[in-house]
Amino acid sequence: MKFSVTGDKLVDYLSKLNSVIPTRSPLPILDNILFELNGNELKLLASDLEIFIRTTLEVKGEKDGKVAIPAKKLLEISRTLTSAKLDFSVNEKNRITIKTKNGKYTIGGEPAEEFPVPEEKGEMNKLEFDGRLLRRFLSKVIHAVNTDELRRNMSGVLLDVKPGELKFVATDGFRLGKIIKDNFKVKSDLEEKIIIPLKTSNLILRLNNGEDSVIDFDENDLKVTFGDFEIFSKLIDDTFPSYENVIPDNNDKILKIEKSSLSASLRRALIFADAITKRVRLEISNNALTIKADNPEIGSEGEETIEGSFTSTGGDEDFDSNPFVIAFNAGYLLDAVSQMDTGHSSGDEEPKIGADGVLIDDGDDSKHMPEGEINISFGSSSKAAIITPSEQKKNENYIELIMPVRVG
Amino acid sequence: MQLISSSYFIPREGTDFDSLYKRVRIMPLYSFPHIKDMNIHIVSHQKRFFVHIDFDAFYAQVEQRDNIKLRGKPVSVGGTEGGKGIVMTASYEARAMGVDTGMSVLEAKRICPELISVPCYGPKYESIMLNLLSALKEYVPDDCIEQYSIDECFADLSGVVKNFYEATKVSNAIKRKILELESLTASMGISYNKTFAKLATKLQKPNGLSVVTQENKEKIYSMPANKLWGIGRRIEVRLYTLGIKTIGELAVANERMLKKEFGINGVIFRKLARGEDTSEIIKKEKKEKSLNHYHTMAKPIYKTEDVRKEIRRIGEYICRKLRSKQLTAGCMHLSIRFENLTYTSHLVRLQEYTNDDREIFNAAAVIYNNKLHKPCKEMKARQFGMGVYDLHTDTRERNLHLFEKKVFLPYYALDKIKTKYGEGIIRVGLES
Repeated sequence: MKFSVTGDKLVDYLSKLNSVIPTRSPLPILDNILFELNGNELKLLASDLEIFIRTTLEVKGEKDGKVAIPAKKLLEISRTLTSAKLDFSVNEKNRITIKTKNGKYTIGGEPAEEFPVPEEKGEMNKLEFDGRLLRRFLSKVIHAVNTDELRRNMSGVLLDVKPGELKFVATDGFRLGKIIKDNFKVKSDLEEKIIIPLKTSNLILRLNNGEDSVIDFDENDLKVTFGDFEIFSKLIDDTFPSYENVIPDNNDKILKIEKSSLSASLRRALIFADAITKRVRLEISNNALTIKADNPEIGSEGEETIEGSFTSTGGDEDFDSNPFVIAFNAGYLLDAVSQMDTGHSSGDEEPKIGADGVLIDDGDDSKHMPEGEINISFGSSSKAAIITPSEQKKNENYIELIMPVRVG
Repeated sequence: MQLISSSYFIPREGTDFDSLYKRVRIMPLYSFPHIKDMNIHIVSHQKRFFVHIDFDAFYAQVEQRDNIKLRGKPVSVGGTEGGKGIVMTASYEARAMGVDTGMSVLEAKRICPELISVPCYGPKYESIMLNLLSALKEYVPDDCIEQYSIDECFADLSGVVKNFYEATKVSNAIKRKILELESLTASMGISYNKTFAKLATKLQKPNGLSVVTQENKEKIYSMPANKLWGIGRRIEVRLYTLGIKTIGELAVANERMLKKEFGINGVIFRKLARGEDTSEIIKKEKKEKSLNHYHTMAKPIYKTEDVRKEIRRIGEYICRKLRSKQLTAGCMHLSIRFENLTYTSHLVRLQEYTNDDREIFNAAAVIYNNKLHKPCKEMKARQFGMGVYDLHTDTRERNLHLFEKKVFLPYYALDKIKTKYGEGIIRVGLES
């Protein structure tokens, strides 16, 4: 195998693949990246046995072949040679020689045959996502994914697709994020539910910068293709909890509040709340929300009041004389609130960036201002609260659900 | 501290709990004084008065107290009816026949055929010790009391007495108090440092009271060196090769020679023997970092049903312990030791900080089902262990769950009921 490539190009790809390489692997071959040259097309493959990432880059190829190269060593040396042109040549004993203008480096590789390869499946269900939709939907709900080992069925993002509708849902039992896209074009009869593992979801978010994506899947496996990358992953073979019936539909008290001031207050409240339970108490009157946090163990206390309007659709209750009280984990609440898009800025539109990398201000302030209101609806102090942006985007429905903390 | 009745942990007969609570901690809570415990600014304590209290044949005495039939007879505590296990404590009657701590029950029965072996029941002894510690507070401040092991404690009387005569008076009062409270006898040693106080206790047993002062420390010097704490069988042999047999010989031995042989411990041994122990009352660190519980089965098991039962018991025990300290745990591990002593274990982070029996059991069941090697007929499990880590004060707040309509059980109230009426009186059922 023989080819040449510029350092910075190689580093770019290697560092992306590096994210999947396990730090301590039972299989030593997984410390390598598989290089496979075919004409001018170099294919790189990295894996932790659960997930495979394959990427393709253009190089100046001279002689085809394949070899597994130790990822860490290669990344270290390429990082210091970003501007140089690197000439790779591999002999029949799998020794890799890298030549630059001034230097020559040799590392020992492993036979390519030992490297595991992903299973290529023929007929799979296909979903196409345009632009940033996949990225945006994943990032909206991923914070709610369960992270412990005990509840496997919740440790991924649910992708629920049926004709004309696409849903992403994540939950850890205490909170739930759900985003729905109407008018989603799929093959007319496709109706499937799959759970994408958290690690795979994170990888997609990290590697995809808004390229059009294709998801191929069957019962057990998933393949995501975008740009130069292909991600192969196992799916979680478990049943996602039936989340629809836990979403309350009779939350009659609605709080309208400015997002930025609420999240700023919550951040401060977190400092004074118990480090583990993060419990804050919300006391809501007609025109104000009071956030109280305390930690009796270290004797800290915090209290803030911010403006907001609180109404009950059920009747004209007076919350001034009898405020509505509920407690939450402030961390969960903050996570949910920060995900809300507010104002007129559209999440689909990325801010325009000029050639010099500076944000272009096109005069419409609302586009870049984080100002705006969100709605939080409550039923009772032991029922889930629902957080929604004050205005949903076209063809979209995004809600966050949080269970309160029971005190006593 | 609230007084805990001795009947605190007594289970009702015929319940599964009988075997669960028959465990005991025989390791001392602390080892002999470390260099960091010593006050290096002084050579030896002046005008200090320490008293060491040691129950006589503690477990055996307690069992004889609670069961008239055992009184005046050779009794050993520990092991099972079948003769497995070891003698943890032997009564003075049994000791006279040659039964010693650490002997297997079978061997003891050979030496002394009329020996009555009763099972050990740790929590009962623990609660007696706790009662003693709280009773001691009438005589000395709380921070002058140190629990050294399950049947021994130290108290620093320096703040309340002026001389050995007064110290003896207070000690006698404590002795009467123990007899009155628990109907048990204890031996006591009074001296100007902790080491000599502990050694003094050994001078007169049972039900003794000995005083070792600067002037009469020769009493101690004639004792064999292995009576000193920190000196076990192996160090005793090494001392013997240096020509040191008694504490007195250790006290006058060459310091450099001891340092060469034992390192810093050699220097400490010599200091302890000379009465230059300058360590103070050590208060147990209040904050626990972890709680563990291991149970070795009398009969190894392998059936899933039995394993589940065992895991549940250990889980309940751990949770009860957590609650008694008002703690919740964020991590837990489950381990299994097999007949051939191989070991399997796994640690998980819990979704929520908890001390709920059911949560811990569910987590343990998931670990058992998915992460561990399972026992089988050919390879049975002989020990189960559970540990909880990342402990945090229980705020009694629970985040409500979306999918599990959990009933929040009043565990603390249940614990109180168990305390009053016995462990088996009430149990939490499982949904499954």
